[in-house]
Amino acid sequence: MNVFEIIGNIFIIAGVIFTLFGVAGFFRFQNFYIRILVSSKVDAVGMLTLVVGLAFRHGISFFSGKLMLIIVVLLILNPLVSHIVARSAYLSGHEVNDPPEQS
Amino acid sequence: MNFDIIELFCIAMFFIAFFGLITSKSMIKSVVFMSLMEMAVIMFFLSIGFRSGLFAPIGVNMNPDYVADPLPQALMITAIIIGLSVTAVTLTMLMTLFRKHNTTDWEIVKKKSAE
Amino acid sequence: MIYAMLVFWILTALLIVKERRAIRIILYFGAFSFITAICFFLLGSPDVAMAEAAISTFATIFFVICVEKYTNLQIDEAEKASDRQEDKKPLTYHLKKFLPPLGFTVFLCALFIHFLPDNTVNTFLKDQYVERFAFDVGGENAVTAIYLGYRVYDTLFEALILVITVVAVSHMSWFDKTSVADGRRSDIQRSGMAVFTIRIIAPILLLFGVYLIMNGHISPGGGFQGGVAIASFFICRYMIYNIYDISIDKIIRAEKAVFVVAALIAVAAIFLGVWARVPAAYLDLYQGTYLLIMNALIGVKVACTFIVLFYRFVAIERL
Repeated sequence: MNVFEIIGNIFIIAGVIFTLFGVAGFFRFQNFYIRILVSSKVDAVGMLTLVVGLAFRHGISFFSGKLMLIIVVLLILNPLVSHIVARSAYLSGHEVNDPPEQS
Repeated sequence: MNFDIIELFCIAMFFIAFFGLITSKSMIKSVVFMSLMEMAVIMFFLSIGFRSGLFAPIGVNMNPDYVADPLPQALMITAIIIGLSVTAVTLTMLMTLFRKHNTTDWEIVKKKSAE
Repeated sequence: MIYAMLVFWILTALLIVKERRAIRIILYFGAFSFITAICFFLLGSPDVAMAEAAISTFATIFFVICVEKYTNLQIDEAEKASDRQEDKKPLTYHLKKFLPPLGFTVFLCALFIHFLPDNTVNTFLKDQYVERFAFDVGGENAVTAIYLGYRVYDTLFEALILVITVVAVSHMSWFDKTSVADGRRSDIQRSGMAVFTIRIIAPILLLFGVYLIMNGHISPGGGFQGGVAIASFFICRYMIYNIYDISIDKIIRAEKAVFVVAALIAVAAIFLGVWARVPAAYLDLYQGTYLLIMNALIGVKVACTFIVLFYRFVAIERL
Protein backbone atom coordinates (compact mmCIF):
# COMPACT_ATOMS: atom_id res chain seq x y z
CA MET A 1 0.00 0.00 0.00
CA ASN A 2 1.65 3.19 -1.09
CA VAL A 3 1.11 6.73 0.17
CA PHE A 4 -1.56 7.58 -2.41
CA GLU A 5 -3.74 4.66 -1.36
CA ILE A 6 -3.50 5.58 2.34
CA ILE A 7 -4.48 9.19 1.60
CA GLY A 8 -7.33 7.92 -0.59
CA ASN A 9 -8.64 5.63 2.15
CA ILE A 10 -8.58 8.50 4.65
CA PHE A 11 -10.58 10.65 2.23
CA ILE A 12 -13.14 7.88 1.64
CA ILE A 13 -13.63 7.35 5.38
CA ALA A 14 -14.09 11.12 5.82
CA GLY A 15 -16.69 11.09 3.05
CA VAL A 16 -18.64 8.29 4.70
CA ILE A 17 -18.57 10.19 8.00
CA PHE A 18 -19.89 13.35 6.31
CA THR A 19 -22.68 11.32 4.75
CA LEU A 20 -23.55 9.80 8.13
CA PHE A 21 -23.73 13.27 9.71
CA GLY A 22 -25.96 14.45 6.88
CA VAL A 23 -28.39 11.54 7.32
CA ALA A 24 -28.39 11.88 11.11
CA GLY A 25 -29.10 15.62 10.85
CA PHE A 26 -31.92 14.94 8.40
CA PHE A 27 -33.70 12.89 11.05
CA ARG A 28 -32.67 15.16 13.92
CA PHE A 29 -34.31 18.38 12.65
CA GLN A 30 -37.96 18.97 11.88
CA ASN A 31 -37.96 22.28 10.02
CA PHE A 32 -38.01 21.81 6.26
CA TYR A 33 -35.39 24.43 5.38
CA ILE A 34 -32.91 23.22 8.01
CA ARG A 35 -33.41 19.72 6.62
CA ILE A 36 -32.48 20.92 3.14
CA LEU A 37 -29.41 22.68 4.54
CA VAL A 38 -28.27 19.55 6.37
CA SER A 39 -29.04 17.07 3.60
CA SER A 40 -27.18 19.17 1.01
CA LYS A 41 -24.05 18.19 2.94
CA VAL A 42 -24.59 14.64 1.70
CA ASP A 43 -24.49 15.53 -1.99
CA ALA A 44 -22.01 18.35 -1.82
CA VAL A 45 -19.36 17.48 0.77
CA GLY A 46 -19.78 13.73 1.26
CA MET A 47 -19.94 12.84 -2.44
CA LEU A 48 -17.08 15.21 -3.29
CA THR A 49 -14.78 13.74 -0.63
CA LEU A 50 -15.58 10.21 -1.76
CA VAL A 51 -14.72 11.00 -5.38
CA VAL A 52 -11.49 12.78 -4.36
CA GLY A 53 -10.55 9.70 -2.32
CA LEU A 54 -11.16 7.44 -5.32
CA ALA A 55 -9.00 9.68 -7.51
CA PHE A 56 -6.19 9.50 -4.95
CA ARG A 57 -6.40 5.71 -4.81
CA HIS A 58 -5.86 5.42 -8.56
CA GLY A 59 -2.91 7.80 -8.71
CA ILE A 60 -2.32 9.90 -11.80
CA SER A 61 -4.13 8.19 -14.70
CA PHE A 62 -6.85 8.69 -17.31
CA PHE A 63 -9.41 7.33 -14.86
CA SER A 64 -8.68 9.98 -12.23
CA GLY A 65 -8.88 12.63 -14.95
CA LYS A 66 -12.43 11.52 -15.65
CA LEU A 67 -13.12 11.63 -11.90
CA MET A 68 -11.92 15.25 -11.88
CA LEU A 69 -14.46 16.04 -14.61
CA ILE A 70 -17.16 14.41 -12.47
CA ILE A 71 -16.07 16.59 -9.53
CA VAL A 72 -16.47 19.74 -11.64
CA VAL A 73 -19.98 18.72 -12.71
CA LEU A 74 -20.90 17.83 -9.11
CA LEU A 75 -19.62 21.18 -7.87
CA ILE A 76 -21.80 22.99 -10.41
CA LEU A 77 -24.95 20.89 -10.06
CA ASN A 78 -25.31 19.90 -6.39
CA PRO A 79 -25.83 23.41 -4.94
CA LEU A 80 -28.31 24.03 -7.75
CA VAL A 81 -30.46 21.07 -6.67
CA SER A 82 -30.71 22.29 -3.08
CA HIS A 83 -31.42 25.81 -4.31
CA ILE A 84 -34.25 24.64 -6.58
CA VAL A 85 -35.87 22.53 -3.86
CA ALA A 86 -35.74 25.34 -1.30
CA ARG A 87 -36.94 27.94 -3.83
CA SER A 88 -39.91 25.92 -5.03
CA ALA A 89 -40.87 25.19 -1.42
CA TYR A 90 -40.76 28.91 -0.64
CA LEU A 91 -42.72 29.88 -3.76
CA SER A 92 -45.42 27.31 -3.06
CA GLY A 93 -46.03 28.91 0.32
CA HIS A 94 -44.05 26.91 2.83
CA GLU A 95 -43.45 29.13 5.88
CA VAL A 96 -39.83 29.64 6.92
CA ASN A 97 -40.58 29.43 10.64
CA ASP A 98 -42.72 26.38 10.26
CA PRO A 99 -44.15 24.35 13.10
CA PRO A 100 -42.89 20.75 13.05
CA GLU A 101 -44.27 18.77 10.14
CA GLN A 102 -47.06 16.32 10.79
CA SER A 103 -45.75 13.29 8.98
CA MET B 1 -35.15 -27.42 -8.70
CA ASN B 2 -32.18 -25.06 -8.72
CA PHE B 3 -33.17 -21.42 -8.63
CA ASP B 4 -31.18 -18.34 -9.19
CA ILE B 5 -31.88 -15.97 -6.28
CA ILE B 6 -31.96 -12.95 -8.62
CA GLU B 7 -34.71 -14.61 -10.66
CA LEU B 8 -36.75 -15.16 -7.51
CA PHE B 9 -36.38 -11.47 -6.65
CA CYS B 10 -37.62 -10.53 -10.12
CA ILE B 11 -40.65 -12.82 -9.85
CA ALA B 12 -41.47 -11.36 -6.41
CA MET B 13 -41.18 -7.85 -7.86
CA PHE B 14 -43.43 -8.69 -10.79
CA PHE B 15 -46.17 -10.00 -8.52
CA ILE B 16 -45.87 -7.13 -6.04
CA ALA B 17 -46.48 -4.79 -8.98
CA PHE B 18 -49.34 -7.03 -10.15
CA PHE B 19 -50.95 -6.88 -6.70
CA GLY B 20 -50.65 -3.10 -6.71
CA LEU B 21 -52.13 -2.92 -10.20
CA ILE B 22 -55.26 -4.89 -9.31
CA THR B 23 -55.87 -3.14 -5.98
CA SER B 24 -55.04 0.50 -6.78
CA LYS B 25 -57.84 2.99 -7.34
CA SER B 26 -55.76 5.82 -8.66
CA MET B 27 -54.84 5.91 -12.34
CA ILE B 28 -51.37 7.35 -11.77
CA LYS B 29 -50.55 4.42 -9.51
CA SER B 30 -51.63 2.05 -12.26
CA VAL B 31 -49.24 3.67 -14.74
CA VAL B 32 -46.39 3.50 -12.21
CA PHE B 33 -47.05 -0.18 -11.53
CA MET B 34 -47.01 -0.95 -15.23
CA SER B 35 -43.52 0.54 -15.33
CA LEU B 36 -42.53 -1.56 -12.33
CA MET B 37 -43.70 -4.80 -13.95
CA GLU B 38 -41.69 -3.96 -17.03
CA MET B 39 -38.55 -3.36 -14.96
CA ALA B 40 -39.01 -6.75 -13.30
CA VAL B 41 -39.23 -8.47 -16.70
CA ILE B 42 -36.12 -6.66 -17.93
CA MET B 43 -34.17 -7.62 -14.82
CA PHE B 44 -35.29 -11.25 -15.27
CA PHE B 45 -33.98 -11.32 -18.83
CA LEU B 46 -30.66 -9.79 -17.83
CA SER B 47 -30.20 -12.24 -14.96
CA ILE B 48 -30.55 -15.21 -17.35
CA GLY B 49 -27.17 -14.56 -18.92
CA PHE B 50 -25.38 -13.66 -15.72
CA ARG B 51 -23.48 -15.62 -13.10
CA SER B 52 -21.50 -14.09 -10.26
CA GLY B 53 -18.07 -12.96 -11.46
CA LEU B 54 -18.81 -12.25 -15.11
CA PHE B 55 -17.73 -9.06 -16.89
CA ALA B 56 -19.51 -6.80 -19.33
CA PRO B 57 -19.23 -8.02 -22.97
CA ILE B 58 -17.01 -5.17 -24.14
CA GLY B 59 -13.45 -5.64 -25.34
CA VAL B 60 -11.22 -7.42 -27.86
CA ASN B 61 -10.67 -11.21 -28.03
CA MET B 62 -12.99 -12.07 -25.16
CA ASN B 63 -13.41 -15.55 -23.73
CA PRO B 64 -17.13 -16.48 -23.69
CA ASP B 65 -16.71 -18.13 -20.29
CA TYR B 66 -15.93 -14.83 -18.58
CA VAL B 67 -18.46 -12.37 -20.04
CA ALA B 68 -22.19 -11.89 -19.55
CA ASP B 69 -24.58 -12.84 -22.34
CA PRO B 70 -24.86 -9.91 -24.80
CA LEU B 71 -28.05 -11.08 -26.54
CA PRO B 72 -30.58 -10.26 -23.74
CA GLN B 73 -28.84 -6.93 -23.20
CA ALA B 74 -29.25 -5.92 -26.84
CA LEU B 75 -32.93 -6.87 -26.70
CA MET B 76 -33.54 -5.12 -23.39
CA ILE B 77 -32.14 -1.75 -24.53
CA THR B 78 -34.94 -1.54 -27.07
CA ALA B 79 -37.41 -2.76 -24.44
CA ILE B 80 -36.46 0.09 -22.11
CA ILE B 81 -36.97 2.74 -24.80
CA ILE B 82 -40.35 1.21 -25.69
CA GLY B 83 -41.23 1.29 -21.98
CA LEU B 84 -40.94 5.06 -21.95
CA SER B 85 -43.13 5.21 -25.07
CA VAL B 86 -45.78 3.13 -23.29
CA THR B 87 -45.62 5.44 -20.28
CA ALA B 88 -46.04 8.52 -22.48
CA VAL B 89 -49.04 7.09 -24.32
CA THR B 90 -50.75 5.94 -21.11
CA LEU B 91 -50.19 9.32 -19.48
CA THR B 92 -51.73 11.02 -22.51
CA MET B 93 -54.77 8.75 -22.23
CA LEU B 94 -54.95 9.52 -18.50
CA MET B 95 -55.01 13.25 -19.21
CA THR B 96 -57.76 12.84 -21.80
CA LEU B 97 -59.83 10.81 -19.31
CA PHE B 98 -59.25 13.47 -16.68
CA ARG B 99 -60.47 16.21 -19.04
CA LYS B 100 -63.57 14.13 -19.77
CA HIS B 101 -64.55 12.97 -16.28
CA ASN B 102 -62.63 15.39 -14.03
CA THR B 103 -61.34 12.66 -11.73
CA THR B 104 -58.53 10.11 -11.50
CA ASP B 105 -60.55 7.47 -9.69
CA TRP B 106 -61.13 4.24 -11.59
CA GLU B 107 -64.43 3.54 -9.82
CA ILE B 108 -65.99 6.90 -10.65
CA VAL B 109 -64.79 6.71 -14.26
CA LYS B 110 -66.31 3.24 -14.59
CA LYS B 111 -69.64 4.42 -13.17
CA LYS B 112 -69.72 7.49 -15.41
CA SER B 113 -68.86 5.51 -18.54
CA ALA B 114 -71.60 2.99 -17.82
CA GLU B 115 -74.27 5.67 -17.74
CA MET C 1 -23.68 -6.22 -3.32
CA ILE C 2 -26.29 -7.16 -5.93
CA TYR C 3 -28.43 -8.88 -3.29
CA ALA C 4 -28.40 -5.81 -1.00
CA MET C 5 -29.47 -3.65 -3.95
CA LEU C 6 -32.23 -6.13 -4.83
CA VAL C 7 -33.56 -5.99 -1.25
CA PHE C 8 -33.71 -2.18 -1.53
CA TRP C 9 -35.44 -2.65 -4.89
CA ILE C 10 -38.22 -4.73 -3.33
CA LEU C 11 -38.53 -2.33 -0.37
CA THR C 12 -39.02 0.66 -2.69
CA ALA C 13 -41.76 -1.20 -4.54
CA LEU C 14 -43.52 -1.99 -1.25
CA LEU C 15 -43.29 1.72 -0.34
CA ILE C 16 -45.00 2.59 -3.63
CA VAL C 17 -47.76 0.04 -2.92
CA LYS C 18 -48.39 1.58 0.48
CA GLU C 19 -48.08 5.29 -0.41
CA ARG C 20 -51.12 7.45 -1.13
CA ARG C 21 -49.83 10.89 -2.10
CA ALA C 22 -49.27 11.14 -5.83
CA ILE C 23 -46.18 13.34 -5.64
CA ARG C 24 -44.47 10.93 -3.21
CA ILE C 25 -45.25 8.01 -5.51
CA ILE C 26 -43.34 9.84 -8.24
CA LEU C 27 -40.38 10.47 -5.93
CA TYR C 28 -40.26 6.81 -4.91
CA PHE C 29 -40.48 5.88 -8.56
CA GLY C 30 -37.39 7.98 -9.26
CA ALA C 31 -35.52 6.23 -6.45
CA PHE C 32 -36.73 2.89 -7.81
CA SER C 33 -35.39 3.63 -11.29
CA PHE C 34 -32.05 4.69 -9.85
CA ILE C 35 -31.70 1.45 -7.87
CA THR C 36 -32.73 -0.49 -10.98
CA ALA C 37 -29.95 1.18 -12.97
CA ILE C 38 -27.38 0.19 -10.32
CA CYS C 39 -28.66 -3.41 -10.39
CA PHE C 40 -28.36 -3.50 -14.20
CA PHE C 41 -24.77 -2.29 -13.91
CA LEU C 42 -23.98 -4.97 -11.33
CA LEU C 43 -25.51 -7.60 -13.65
CA GLY C 44 -22.73 -6.89 -16.15
CA SER C 45 -24.68 -4.73 -18.58
CA PRO C 46 -23.50 -1.10 -18.52
CA ASP C 47 -25.33 -0.29 -21.78
CA VAL C 48 -28.72 -1.15 -20.31
CA ALA C 49 -27.88 0.66 -17.08
CA MET C 50 -27.04 3.83 -19.00
CA ALA C 51 -30.25 3.62 -21.02
CA GLU C 52 -32.28 3.10 -17.85
CA ALA C 53 -30.65 6.03 -16.04
CA ALA C 54 -31.31 8.32 -19.00
CA ILE C 55 -34.87 7.11 -19.53
CA SER C 56 -35.92 7.39 -15.88
CA THR C 57 -35.29 11.16 -15.96
CA PHE C 58 -37.74 11.53 -18.83
CA ALA C 59 -40.31 9.28 -17.18
CA THR C 60 -40.09 11.30 -13.96
CA ILE C 61 -40.53 14.58 -15.88
CA PHE C 62 -43.66 13.26 -17.64
CA PHE C 63 -45.13 12.00 -14.38
CA VAL C 64 -44.45 15.29 -12.59
CA ILE C 65 -46.10 17.35 -15.35
CA CYS C 66 -49.09 15.02 -15.30
CA VAL C 67 -49.45 14.99 -11.51
CA GLU C 68 -48.93 18.72 -11.05
CA LYS C 69 -51.65 19.67 -13.47
CA TYR C 70 -54.15 16.85 -13.30
CA THR C 71 -54.44 15.67 -9.73
CA ASN C 72 -54.49 17.08 -6.27
CA LEU C 73 -50.88 17.47 -5.11
CA GLN C 74 -51.66 16.17 -1.66
CA ILE C 75 -53.44 12.84 -1.17
CA ASP C 76 -54.83 11.57 -4.43
CA GLU C 77 -58.49 12.57 -4.37
CA ALA C 78 -59.55 9.07 -5.28
CA GLU C 79 -57.73 7.67 -2.27
CA LYS C 80 -58.90 10.56 -0.06
CA ALA C 81 -62.59 9.97 -0.69
CA SER C 82 -62.31 6.28 0.06
CA ASP C 83 -60.15 6.98 3.14
CA ARG C 84 -62.91 8.88 4.87
CA GLN C 85 -65.39 6.06 4.41
CA GLU C 86 -63.05 3.22 5.18
CA ASP C 87 -61.45 4.49 8.37
CA LYS C 88 -64.63 3.67 10.23
CA LYS C 89 -65.02 0.15 8.86
CA PRO C 90 -63.93 -2.81 11.02
CA LEU C 91 -60.87 -4.96 10.39
CA THR C 92 -62.83 -7.77 8.77
CA TYR C 93 -63.92 -5.38 6.02
CA HIS C 94 -60.29 -4.63 5.14
CA LEU C 95 -59.42 -8.33 5.25
CA LYS C 96 -62.33 -9.15 2.99
CA LYS C 97 -61.24 -6.46 0.59
CA PHE C 98 -57.54 -7.30 0.36
CA LEU C 99 -57.45 -11.06 0.83
CA PRO C 100 -58.92 -12.12 -2.56
CA PRO C 101 -56.43 -10.09 -4.67
CA LEU C 102 -53.57 -11.16 -2.39
CA GLY C 103 -54.59 -14.82 -2.62
CA PHE C 104 -54.93 -14.57 -6.39
CA THR C 105 -51.47 -12.98 -6.67
CA VAL C 106 -49.83 -15.58 -4.43
CA PHE C 107 -51.54 -18.36 -6.40
CA LEU C 108 -50.25 -16.99 -9.71
CA CYS C 109 -46.77 -16.55 -8.21
CA ALA C 110 -46.71 -20.14 -6.96
CA LEU C 111 -47.91 -21.37 -10.36
CA PHE C 112 -45.16 -19.37 -12.05
CA ILE C 113 -42.43 -20.72 -9.77
CA HIS C 114 -43.70 -24.28 -10.11
CA PHE C 115 -43.53 -24.19 -13.89
CA LEU C 116 -40.26 -22.28 -14.05
CA PRO C 117 -37.95 -24.31 -16.33
CA ASP C 118 -34.95 -25.53 -14.38
CA ASN C 119 -32.81 -26.78 -17.24
CA THR C 120 -29.44 -25.20 -17.85
CA VAL C 121 -29.12 -22.23 -20.17
CA ASN C 122 -28.07 -22.97 -23.74
CA THR C 123 -24.90 -20.97 -24.35
CA PHE C 124 -24.42 -21.83 -28.03
CA LEU C 125 -25.59 -18.47 -29.34
CA LYS C 126 -23.66 -16.60 -26.69
CA ASP C 127 -20.41 -18.35 -27.61
CA GLN C 128 -21.01 -17.71 -31.30
CA TYR C 129 -21.78 -14.03 -30.80
CA VAL C 130 -18.92 -13.33 -28.40
CA GLU C 131 -16.33 -15.10 -30.53
CA ARG C 132 -17.34 -13.88 -33.96
CA PHE C 133 -18.88 -10.43 -33.61
CA ALA C 134 -15.57 -8.60 -34.15
CA PHE C 135 -15.14 -10.40 -37.47
CA ASP C 136 -18.78 -10.32 -38.60
CA VAL C 137 -19.94 -6.86 -37.62
CA GLY C 138 -16.89 -5.09 -36.21
CA GLY C 139 -16.38 -2.84 -33.23
CA GLU C 140 -15.53 -3.86 -29.69
CA ASN C 141 -18.95 -3.74 -28.05
CA ALA C 142 -20.84 -7.02 -28.44
CA VAL C 143 -24.19 -5.42 -27.55
CA THR C 144 -23.90 -2.80 -30.30
CA ALA C 145 -22.75 -5.49 -32.72
CA ILE C 146 -25.90 -7.50 -31.99
CA TYR C 147 -28.43 -4.69 -32.24
CA LEU C 148 -26.86 -3.16 -35.36
CA GLY C 149 -25.62 -6.33 -37.04
CA TYR C 150 -27.21 -9.64 -36.23
CA ARG C 151 -30.56 -8.26 -35.12
CA VAL C 152 -30.94 -5.05 -37.05
CA TYR C 153 -34.56 -5.99 -37.85
CA ASP C 154 -35.43 -5.64 -34.16
CA THR C 155 -33.86 -2.22 -34.01
CA LEU C 156 -35.64 -1.03 -37.14
CA PHE C 157 -39.04 -2.12 -35.89
CA GLU C 158 -38.30 -0.55 -32.52
CA ALA C 159 -37.56 2.70 -34.36
CA LEU C 160 -40.88 2.28 -36.17
CA ILE C 161 -42.62 1.92 -32.81
CA LEU C 162 -41.17 5.30 -31.78
CA VAL C 163 -42.89 6.88 -34.82
CA ILE C 164 -46.12 5.14 -33.82
CA THR C 165 -45.74 6.54 -30.29
CA VAL C 166 -45.51 10.09 -31.58
CA VAL C 167 -48.59 9.55 -33.74
CA ALA C 168 -50.49 7.97 -30.83
CA VAL C 169 -49.60 10.77 -28.42
CA SER C 170 -50.75 13.37 -30.95
CA HIS C 171 -53.91 11.44 -31.75
CA MET C 172 -55.07 10.50 -28.25
CA SER C 173 -54.52 13.87 -26.65
CA TRP C 174 -57.47 16.18 -26.00
CA PHE C 175 -55.66 18.89 -27.99
CA ASP C 176 -56.43 18.16 -31.63
CA LYS C 177 -53.70 20.24 -33.28
CA THR C 178 -50.18 18.93 -33.60
CA SER C 179 -48.04 22.02 -33.41
CA VAL C 180 -47.74 24.71 -30.76
CA ALA C 181 -44.92 26.81 -32.21
CA ASP C 182 -46.41 30.24 -31.66
CA GLY C 183 -43.60 31.70 -29.57
CA ARG C 184 -45.71 31.72 -26.41
CA ARG C 185 -43.85 32.05 -23.12
CA SER C 186 -44.99 30.21 -20.04
CA ASP C 187 -45.71 32.23 -16.92
CA ILE C 188 -43.46 30.26 -14.59
CA GLN C 189 -41.11 32.31 -12.45
CA ARG C 190 -37.60 31.20 -13.24
CA SER C 191 -34.65 31.31 -10.90
CA GLY C 192 -31.76 33.35 -12.30
CA MET C 193 -29.25 31.11 -10.60
CA ALA C 194 -30.74 28.01 -12.22
CA VAL C 195 -30.70 29.62 -15.66
CA PHE C 196 -27.07 30.66 -15.24
CA THR C 197 -25.99 27.17 -14.13
CA ILE C 198 -27.94 25.40 -16.86
CA ARG C 199 -26.30 27.66 -19.44
CA ILE C 200 -22.96 26.24 -18.29
CA ILE C 201 -24.16 22.62 -18.16
CA ALA C 202 -26.13 22.42 -21.43
CA PRO C 203 -23.16 22.40 -23.87
CA ILE C 204 -21.51 19.69 -21.75
CA LEU C 205 -24.69 17.61 -22.11
CA LEU C 206 -24.72 18.01 -25.89
CA LEU C 207 -21.05 17.09 -26.07
CA PHE C 208 -21.69 14.05 -23.89
CA GLY C 209 -24.50 12.88 -26.14
CA VAL C 210 -22.35 13.19 -29.25
CA TYR C 211 -19.50 11.40 -27.44
CA LEU C 212 -21.80 8.50 -26.53
CA ILE C 213 -22.94 8.15 -30.14
CA MET C 214 -19.46 8.40 -31.64
CA ASN C 215 -18.01 5.82 -29.24
CA GLY C 216 -21.02 3.52 -29.23
CA HIS C 217 -19.24 0.67 -30.99
CA ILE C 218 -16.08 0.59 -28.84
CA SER C 219 -17.43 1.43 -25.35
CA PRO C 220 -20.70 1.41 -23.39
CA GLY C 221 -23.23 3.71 -24.99
CA GLY C 222 -24.66 4.01 -28.44
CA GLY C 223 -27.51 5.51 -30.38
CA PHE C 224 -30.24 5.10 -27.79
CA GLN C 225 -28.36 6.53 -24.82
CA GLY C 226 -26.76 9.34 -26.84
CA GLY C 227 -30.11 10.24 -28.38
CA VAL C 228 -31.69 10.61 -24.96
CA ALA C 229 -28.77 12.79 -23.81
CA ILE C 230 -29.21 15.04 -26.86
CA ALA C 231 -32.95 15.28 -26.16
CA SER C 232 -32.16 16.40 -22.60
CA PHE C 233 -30.11 19.24 -24.13
CA PHE C 234 -33.40 20.50 -25.56
CA ILE C 235 -34.98 20.35 -22.10
CA CYS C 236 -32.17 22.64 -20.96
CA ARG C 237 -32.89 24.94 -23.91
CA TYR C 238 -36.52 25.15 -22.87
CA MET C 239 -35.52 25.92 -19.30
CA ILE C 240 -33.18 28.73 -20.39
CA TYR C 241 -35.34 30.54 -22.95
CA ASN C 242 -38.76 29.45 -21.64
CA ILE C 243 -40.34 29.61 -25.08
CA TYR C 244 -42.23 27.14 -27.27
CA ASP C 245 -40.74 27.98 -30.65
CA ILE C 246 -39.76 24.54 -31.95
CA SER C 247 -42.01 23.42 -34.78
CA ILE C 248 -43.10 19.90 -33.91
CA ASP C 249 -44.27 19.21 -37.47
CA LYS C 250 -40.79 19.71 -38.85
CA ILE C 251 -39.24 17.44 -36.22
CA ILE C 252 -41.75 14.67 -36.97
CA ARG C 253 -41.00 15.00 -40.69
CA ALA C 254 -37.25 14.85 -40.01
CA GLU C 255 -37.79 11.78 -37.84
CA LYS C 256 -39.63 9.92 -40.59
CA ALA C 257 -36.91 10.82 -43.12
CA VAL C 258 -34.19 9.59 -40.75
CA PHE C 259 -36.08 6.34 -40.26
CA VAL C 260 -36.34 5.72 -43.99
CA VAL C 261 -32.62 6.45 -44.48
CA ALA C 262 -31.68 4.11 -41.63
CA ALA C 263 -33.85 1.31 -43.03
CA LEU C 264 -32.36 1.77 -46.52
CA ILE C 265 -28.80 1.70 -45.22
CA ALA C 266 -29.44 -1.41 -43.14
CA VAL C 267 -31.07 -3.21 -46.05
CA ALA C 268 -28.27 -2.20 -48.43
CA ALA C 269 -25.52 -3.15 -46.02
CA ILE C 270 -26.77 -6.51 -44.85
CA PHE C 271 -29.54 -7.96 -46.97
CA LEU C 272 -28.17 -7.04 -50.40
CA GLY C 273 -24.83 -8.62 -49.53
CA VAL C 274 -22.61 -5.57 -49.87
CA TRP C 275 -20.93 -6.89 -46.76
CA ALA C 276 -19.42 -9.93 -48.46
CA ARG C 277 -18.12 -8.03 -51.52
CA VAL C 278 -15.97 -5.57 -49.61
CA PRO C 279 -12.25 -6.40 -50.04
CA ALA C 280 -10.65 -7.70 -46.88
CA ALA C 281 -8.24 -4.76 -46.66
CA TYR C 282 -11.11 -2.26 -46.36
CA LEU C 283 -13.38 -4.38 -44.17
CA ASP C 284 -12.46 -2.65 -40.90
CA LEU C 285 -13.01 0.81 -42.36
CA TYR C 286 -16.32 -0.25 -43.90
CA GLN C 287 -17.61 -1.87 -40.73
CA GLY C 288 -16.59 1.08 -38.56
CA THR C 289 -18.32 3.53 -40.91
CA TYR C 290 -21.46 1.41 -40.99
CA LEU C 291 -21.69 1.20 -37.18
CA LEU C 292 -21.00 4.92 -36.78
CA ILE C 293 -23.62 5.99 -39.34
CA MET C 294 -26.31 3.64 -38.00
CA ASN C 295 -25.64 4.74 -34.41
CA ALA C 296 -25.85 8.40 -35.46
CA LEU C 297 -29.15 7.86 -37.34
CA ILE C 298 -30.71 5.97 -34.44
CA GLY C 299 -29.48 8.66 -32.04
CA VAL C 300 -31.08 11.43 -34.11
CA LYS C 301 -34.29 9.43 -34.35
CA VAL C 302 -34.56 8.79 -30.59
CA ALA C 303 -33.68 12.43 -29.89
CA CYS C 304 -36.42 13.64 -32.26
CA THR C 305 -39.02 11.40 -30.61
CA PHE C 306 -38.23 12.55 -27.12
CA ILE C 307 -38.08 16.22 -28.10
CA VAL C 308 -41.57 15.89 -29.57
CA LEU C 309 -42.88 14.07 -26.50
CA PHE C 310 -41.33 16.61 -24.12
CA TYR C 311 -42.66 19.64 -25.98
CA ARG C 312 -46.11 18.14 -26.22
CA PHE C 313 -46.19 17.38 -22.51
CA VAL C 314 -44.85 20.76 -21.47
CA ALA C 315 -46.59 22.99 -23.97
CA ILE C 316 -49.94 21.35 -24.64
CA GLU C 317 -50.79 19.35 -21.58
CA ARG C 318 -50.15 22.36 -19.34
CA LEU C 319 -52.46 24.69 -21.23
